[in-house]
Amino acid sequence: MKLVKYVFLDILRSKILIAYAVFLIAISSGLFMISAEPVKAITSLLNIVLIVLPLFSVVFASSYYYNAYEFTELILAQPIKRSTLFFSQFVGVGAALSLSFIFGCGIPVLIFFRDSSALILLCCGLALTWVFTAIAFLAVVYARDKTKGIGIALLLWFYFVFIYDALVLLFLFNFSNYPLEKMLMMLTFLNPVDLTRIIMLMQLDMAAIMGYTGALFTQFLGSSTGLVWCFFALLLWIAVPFILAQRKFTRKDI
Amino acid sequence: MIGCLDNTNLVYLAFMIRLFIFVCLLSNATCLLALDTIYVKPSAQADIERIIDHVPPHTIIKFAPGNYKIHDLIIRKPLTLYGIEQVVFDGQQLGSVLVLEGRNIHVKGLTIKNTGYSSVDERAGIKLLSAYGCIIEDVNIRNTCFGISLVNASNCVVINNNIHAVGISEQRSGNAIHAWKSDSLTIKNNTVSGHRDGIYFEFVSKTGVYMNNSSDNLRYGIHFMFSNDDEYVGNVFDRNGSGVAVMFSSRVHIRDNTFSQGSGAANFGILLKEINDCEVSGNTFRQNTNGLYMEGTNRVYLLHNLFTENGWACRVQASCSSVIVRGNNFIGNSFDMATNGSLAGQNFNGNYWDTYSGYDMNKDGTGDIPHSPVSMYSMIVERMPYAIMLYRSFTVFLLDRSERIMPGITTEQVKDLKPAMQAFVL
Repeated sequence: MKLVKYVFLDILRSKILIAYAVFLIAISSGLFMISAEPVKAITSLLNIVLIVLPLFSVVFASSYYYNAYEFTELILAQPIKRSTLFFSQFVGVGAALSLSFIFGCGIPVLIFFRDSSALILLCCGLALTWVFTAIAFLAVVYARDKTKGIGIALLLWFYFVFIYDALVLLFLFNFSNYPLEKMLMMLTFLNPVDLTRIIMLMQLDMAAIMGYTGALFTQFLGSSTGLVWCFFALLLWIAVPFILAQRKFTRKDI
Repeated sequence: MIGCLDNTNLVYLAFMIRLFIFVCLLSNATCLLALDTIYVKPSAQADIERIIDHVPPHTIIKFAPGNYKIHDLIIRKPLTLYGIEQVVFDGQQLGSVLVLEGRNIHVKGLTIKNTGYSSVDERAGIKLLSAYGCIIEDVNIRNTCFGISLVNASNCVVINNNIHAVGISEQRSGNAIHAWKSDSLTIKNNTVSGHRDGIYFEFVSKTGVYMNNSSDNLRYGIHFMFSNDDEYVGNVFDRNGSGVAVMFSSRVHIRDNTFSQGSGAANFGILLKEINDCEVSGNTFRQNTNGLYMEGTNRVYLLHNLFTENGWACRVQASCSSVIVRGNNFIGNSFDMATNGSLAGQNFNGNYWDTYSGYDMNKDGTGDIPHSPVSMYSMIVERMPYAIMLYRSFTVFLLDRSERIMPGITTEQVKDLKPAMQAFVL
């Protein structure tokens, strides 16, 4: 726990994180001031949350890992378990990123738009921060070289934000003659970015106007059980990459 | 002898003749004015049929407040049935309540309820069979199969009525205002809800539907077939099961109506099918899955409408010809326009699209580069509805942008050559 505290405080001192929070404040309060309807600002903010947030989390977490490499080596010389160290680094980075997100997005959102959908947006943003921190940690433990590690992390981000959707489109083109309802649900759950996007669209009540497939999503995700499922799925998206990364970290040759 | 009369006498005679004519007219008029008025109390309800048989035409029958158990009361002569507050005609689930089969019958201020449902006959709160010149006014109709049914009626007025039912299934429910094979009707200021169709027109011509509110019906707000030369103006259609359908008709004018909150894939703010020479202007389409859907129409003019917050604002099928879309505002729709094929010979010039990304260098108020309202993604979704999963994702944004810069797949014919830079004031 002490380690978590040190990592956390160490990161909070970094100027990049402060710049990130300031950027988020500027963009979210700017969006709210520009658009007449707060709901529209929330939809625009959703794009930021879906693209910028994962990108920053991935880059920040992976570069942290490499920058703190000497610190890691030093600590490992002490009688401390590797898994504990890794866990505290993960929690420290995740908590610092979450804090700056809450600070940067949460305050303007709560000032301008106090609603359940705003809360869900913040929760989604937090979840994505943790998911992509975990993914970045997974990427970097497999690469010794800094450039390569950050490259892999970026590629993963690129995959979840762009490539996955293109693949889905390709898949739909080829199998559009089949009943794909269940498949579609599965495909949604297989990408945290898509999952959060659809949760948010449900919240902003866009499903009602999106026809049959929209109705399908509402039926499943609109209910409270659906939300619980999504929450669970996002937790899995945090836990699975982290556990894999931790396993690798405890076994690898530092 | 007349020759003997001098000039003054002649003037006097002329005056007397005029006076005589005036007195005659006056007595005639008083005779019309001094119509018999009969008061009926709930205690006399067993005799209502006999009273109606015996009163002379043009009698005013006033009902005292109370509950009257009446069903299938047939009226064949011109009478006025007038309810003074809280006059309830209860059909006791046994059949239609009033059946008007004559001319110039006036029904005002009654509450009619409980016709029950039958699969043999079409039960209605008020049924007009081959009626002429009847007026139904200020009537509350509750819990009936059909509300007001006009069959082979002409020159009738249905005004200020409130018709409400709690329909459960389309099969066991009727229409609030049902008109069949009628002409020259006026349907005005009615509020209808909870029926199968709010207003149903089949073979009805030269009819006006004004300022009605038709909402929360199981199927259509207005269902309109084989009805020519009609207009409906200023109506509100809200939350109906399938929106509004107008089919197989010519020369229909649809003005200043509001179509809103129709949600579902088969729900259309308004569906136009096989319509010729129709004008749709000044309407508001708000929060529908499909705002306006057109199929097999000829010469439809869409002018000065507002399409806002719809899933698909306009779906124009390739079977339409000579559609003119001008002066409309498209604001905040998920898709402004979708089509299933190529649209040749349509005119989409001069609308405001909030998705327009062009510029206006010569400051004439219209954009300098054409706008194509059919986006790449809307084409994809039209072909594969499941692709809606990717709505608002970045990949879709990239696809749309690249298609806009170098169009290859989207149909070239749907283009606004003069997109407005500012929304129109409607």
